[in-house]
Amino acid sequence: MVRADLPSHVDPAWNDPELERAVRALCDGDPTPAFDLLAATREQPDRRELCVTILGQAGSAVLPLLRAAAEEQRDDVERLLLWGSALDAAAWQARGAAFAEHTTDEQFGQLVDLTKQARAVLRRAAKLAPDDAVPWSELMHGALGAPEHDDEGDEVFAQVGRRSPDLYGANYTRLQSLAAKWYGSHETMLEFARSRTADLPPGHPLLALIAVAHVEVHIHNLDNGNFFKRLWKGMTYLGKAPVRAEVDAASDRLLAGVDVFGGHPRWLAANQVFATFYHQLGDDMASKPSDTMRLARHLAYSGERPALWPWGYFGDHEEQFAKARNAVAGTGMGIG
Amino acid sequence: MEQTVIDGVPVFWAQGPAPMTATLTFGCGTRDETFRTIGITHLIEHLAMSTLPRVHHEHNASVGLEITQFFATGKPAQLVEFLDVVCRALADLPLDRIDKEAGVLAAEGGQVTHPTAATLLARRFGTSGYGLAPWIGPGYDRIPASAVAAHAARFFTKGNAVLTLTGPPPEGLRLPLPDGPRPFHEPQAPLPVAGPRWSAESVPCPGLGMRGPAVSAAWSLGMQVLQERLTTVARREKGLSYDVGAERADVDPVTAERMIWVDAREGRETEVAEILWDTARQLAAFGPDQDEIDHEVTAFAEAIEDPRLVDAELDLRARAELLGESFHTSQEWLAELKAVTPEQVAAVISEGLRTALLVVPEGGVLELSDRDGKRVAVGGCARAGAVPDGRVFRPPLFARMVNGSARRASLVLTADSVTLRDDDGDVHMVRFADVVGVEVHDGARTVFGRYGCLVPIDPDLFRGAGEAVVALEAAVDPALFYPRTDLIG
Repeated sequence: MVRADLPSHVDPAWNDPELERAVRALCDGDPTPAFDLLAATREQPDRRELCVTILGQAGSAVLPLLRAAAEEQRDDVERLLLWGSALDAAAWQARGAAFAEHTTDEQFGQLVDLTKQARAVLRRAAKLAPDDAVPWSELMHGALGAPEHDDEGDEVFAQVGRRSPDLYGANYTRLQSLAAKWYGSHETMLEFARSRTADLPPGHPLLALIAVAHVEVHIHNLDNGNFFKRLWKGMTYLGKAPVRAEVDAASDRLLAGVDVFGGHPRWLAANQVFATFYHQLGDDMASKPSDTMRLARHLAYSGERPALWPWGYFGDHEEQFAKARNAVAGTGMGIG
Repeated sequence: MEQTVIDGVPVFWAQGPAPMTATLTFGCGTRDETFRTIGITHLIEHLAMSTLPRVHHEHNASVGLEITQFFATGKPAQLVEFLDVVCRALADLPLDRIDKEAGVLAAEGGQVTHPTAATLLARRFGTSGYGLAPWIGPGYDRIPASAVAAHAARFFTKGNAVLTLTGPPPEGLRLPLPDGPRPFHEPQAPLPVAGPRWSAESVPCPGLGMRGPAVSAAWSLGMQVLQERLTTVARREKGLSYDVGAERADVDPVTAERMIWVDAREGRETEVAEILWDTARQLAAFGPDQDEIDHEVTAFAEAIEDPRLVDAELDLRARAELLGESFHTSQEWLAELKAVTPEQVAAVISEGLRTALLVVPEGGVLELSDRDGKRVAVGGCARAGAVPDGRVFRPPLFARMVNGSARRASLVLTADSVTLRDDDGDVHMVRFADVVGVEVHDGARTVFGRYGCLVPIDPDLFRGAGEAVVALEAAVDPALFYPRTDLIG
């Protein structure tokens, strides 16, 4: 059982006691458990990616400490990875979560500048550990928010693909970069989600890309067009038969593989993505009882701590998560 | 290197290629001036050189931040005559030529260092010592003859001179300088500004200033690598820049201010400033590659094989003698460079960046973070946080009706200060105790402050400000007041 009071900028949707200890130690100013943990994950790319991202989020509050540690041992990949990831996290915190049109020049400036620092550090890590996919996965964040050039996202994702093509974080970020709100379109994003998930085995967390993609379209609908258009699309998109069918199918595939992938570092996060979808569908005009059942099943695998995203699209992530859990509490399809 | 003494002046010499060069160096530079006497060293140099008869051999003089040099290249007898004339002139300056030489200097428009480096120094030190570098001051025609004589008597003496020669001292060489002790140069403390900071300034191109140890092979090598990397990125890769320059100011025997600037294509100055900052930051993070170090070491090793370098080495010896700087022979320095590691370079640049001042041409806005991810704050002149309570003078009513800037501006007089709130809302306060100069122009006064701010007290701009003029004149040393120069149109 883990304590629930991680800093608010740390995504808590995972269950890894060693990572928990390392995060808390890092927040208290001790990076050693983090370095040790990362060193232990060199042959576990999925876990390594999660750990680097989460520790980076925690580390964004202790950047001087991580810088000093990296300077002590300039060729230590784990130290570089953590420092670079923390700089990345700081860059996104400086930017804020608003859409681009609501982001100030100052915030963009800080995003760009901190990303430059992160990029330099992560590239060094990539150079020192040429087989490691995680530096490239982390570089995806900078390529999304403040690309050095137009093709950086493609190039970096290709590097991930050569090493560990199924990394959850890298694919999630890639999907974001293909969304209409960034550099792509609904069609490109959905095509990516479909092609990446087509051959996945049952239970693979990357199946969540399908749900994420439709949530992204839904969010776009809520934010674009006149009031009535937004209202109508917002109320109907998720319940459209093709959308529902596609997400239901992905949901079925994910749930079918719990025995194999139930211990995957991203299992909780993937289930929370589906849970977000079905919870939102609960507000939709086309909601069905079976949606509540699916919501309950995904919540059952979602752990106790809500992911910052995509819950955060619809309000406070903790409130949204609690609402979703309440929605299934009295149905006999309870959690656990 | 040989050493002797002639007429009480230390002489260092080493054999170099013919013809021989003689350099008479004084431990006096622009840092020894005040705002009120800006340009006085250059004026003394011109007055002395104006006494030379027409000669055909190469000769000149220069004024730097810390030293002034008179030098000539030619036959031994020509050098003997050159030095004799210069020394006699310094002992008895033709003060009656001040007006003429002031005009010549105004036409010359010389600067002690690159204007970007000069501004960096001003932001580091305020309006005194090294920080005077970018300022014009009252003008050469407003420097009193008595001040010229006094400055020469203090600094251009036997005790503050060193002669260097690229050959043995010629027969008949005399150095008839006036007697005088070697003056003590009080170490100049920087303004209490926590770095790093950036500011938009009246500079031609972006520049970066950092503080660090005066003698450090790692620092020197790091700056060379930084220059090389900037050339690679800003010039070769991005085509944004033509030239990268660097300069150092040896603030005291153990501390140096190092400045680097990168010129920029018009409209791309901000981008170049960002490249400058990011390149320095990366060097601080990871240091140079061993290849880069090897390249610089090889370059230096080749340079010191050039027999003409003896002149530069003699210059360093003269500086060491006059300023107390440590002296290394070229071979000693080469050995130190060879021992530098990437980690050492990273460490010194990293430390330097903590004190960094970054300037960008006016209009530029920088959003940068330091090495710990913290936003780099805005620097510049020492603007006050709030307007103090005091007597407020505003622009005339009509001006305020028709002009938005006039509506925003105000002048505030207190018992010990005068403050301008400018049309951007920035607050510039000058305490009377911090006044370094006051330009008088008809009924108006322009007050220059120690911390880089200036405040115009003009009754035409601020209704009733004559009261502030009276208060200013009562509170500030009359010697700091001067009429506006006639040399600028």
